[in-house]
Amino acid sequence: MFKPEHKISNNIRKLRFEAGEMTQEQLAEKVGVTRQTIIALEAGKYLPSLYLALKLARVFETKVEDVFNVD
Amino acid sequence: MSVQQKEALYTLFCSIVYFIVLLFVPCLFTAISSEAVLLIFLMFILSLWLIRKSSGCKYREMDEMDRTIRLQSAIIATHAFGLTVALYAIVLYLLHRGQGFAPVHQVLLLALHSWLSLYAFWSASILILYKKGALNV
Repeated sequence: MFKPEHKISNNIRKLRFEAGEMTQEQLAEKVGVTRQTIIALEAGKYLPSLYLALKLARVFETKVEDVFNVD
Repeated sequence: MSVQQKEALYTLFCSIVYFIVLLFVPCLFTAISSEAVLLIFLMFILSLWLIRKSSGCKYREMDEMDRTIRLQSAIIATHAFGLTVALYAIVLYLLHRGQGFAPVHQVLLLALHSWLSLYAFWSASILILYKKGALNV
């Protein structure tokens, strides 16, 4: 619907599998959102707030730059 | 399907039903009175309230994507509302410019149609944004 000026991709799916094949439901619960939001994030249909991005990085015990990339 | 999507789907259906009712009421009763418009207006507001209550959609319980979609949809719907008011007002002006005033029931119909369009566009936008994606840009 809205075309972003910059393409931001993420490694959430890859990081989930590296974190012991964590399910979308488990990740959603850990960061306090719905599974639908995780699905949208992985599909690149939603850009999270800085707060959610930091929470995701904390769950994966990594830096935000390792979770999100600006293409 | 999230609670918000369900609420949007019911609201869209309800708005369409009221649009159809408004199309057929004047045909059935020759002319539509101000009281009839007010009654339909009240029934529509009551229907919206019932949908809100039965779907259990609460802003406080939504996550950030749901809230983003709700707010983006509200912006789209507000523009559609403004456009409906402007177009309807122009039509009323063209129809009644000779008399210098518009009948009361026509003004009430303008309000009702604008209100209906606000909720129709708002709910349709919510459903579309869930499908297409809401990007924070």
